Amino acid sequence: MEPETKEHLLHMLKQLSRVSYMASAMVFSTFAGVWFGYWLDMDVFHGKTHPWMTIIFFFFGLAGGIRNLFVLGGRMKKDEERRSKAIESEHEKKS
Amino acid sequence: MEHPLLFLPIILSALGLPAYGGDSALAQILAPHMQYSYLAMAICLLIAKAATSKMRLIPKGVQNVMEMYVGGLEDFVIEQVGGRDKAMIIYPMVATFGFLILISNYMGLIPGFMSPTANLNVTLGCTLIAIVTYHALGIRFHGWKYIKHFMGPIKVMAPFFLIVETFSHAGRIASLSIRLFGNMMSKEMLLGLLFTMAGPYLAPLPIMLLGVLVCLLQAFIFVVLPVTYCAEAMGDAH
Repeated sequence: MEPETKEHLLHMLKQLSRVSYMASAMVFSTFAGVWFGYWLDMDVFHGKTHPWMTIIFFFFGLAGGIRNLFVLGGRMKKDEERRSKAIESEHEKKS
Repeated sequence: MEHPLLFLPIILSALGLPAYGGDSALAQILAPHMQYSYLAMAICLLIAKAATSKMRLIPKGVQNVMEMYVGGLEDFVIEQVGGRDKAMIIYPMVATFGFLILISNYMGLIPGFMSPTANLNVTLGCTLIAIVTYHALGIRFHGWKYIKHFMGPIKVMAPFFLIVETFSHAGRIASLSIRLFGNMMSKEMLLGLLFTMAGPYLAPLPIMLLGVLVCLLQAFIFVVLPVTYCAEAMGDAH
């Protein structure tokens, strides 16, 4: 396999894995928030606060999911910049 | 699919051992997913032994494959973490995860074997190791200032960010473990259903092809994400 093809394949796999992760991280983080809020409502406060804790922690979980997106998006951007720099320097060497 | 046809449990139950799970300690140690995890570990050790027993300057056979894997992954981790010293701390863990999960995933494609990763306990165990490691690394590199990573940029909003970060980390644990488990489980279920309902010859082939790709991708994800988290925990606070 040529090094360029190998690099391209690796890059594609990396992007694919991060993107597939982003979706699930968002869903499960929201789910964790809802579950915790529901647990507070039902087991700790015995249904007196229902459904307020669930709603509040749903938003906390959602915010956590979006935070995950920011972290991984930032990392993807860094990778992209590094990659384009490497490609540019390669072109300069060739020319 | 109460008891799918699996070779190891058949052999063990012929020896009089509780091989299909149960409540006693021995039955839990010898549950099917545990047996196949042991098999995956044994295969890993055997391949590592075969690759390093007769080392040559010009690699041949198994040594060639393993050198490619180890070298390629090393470059990848160094590039992500940004420094050889830091990379070498997490490299053994990540390389082991990659290799073990790749073998575990592919084992499910052989008739009579199952993927140990199609059980949530196995994937959750791997995930917890990765999560604890990156928090420990964060504390090691930043001391107790590591908690600033969870406080966000604005001081007044620190408690809010602390709660949000807690859920984002809980989401990471769940998504890392449940995605691997879900992918493998769905592949096994689909294969089993097609084998029994649509005939054993050509019907399961497309799913098998998809399975080959998904197995590789999932093992790769389990390498990329712990590396990303460790790099983030070891890097500067944002």
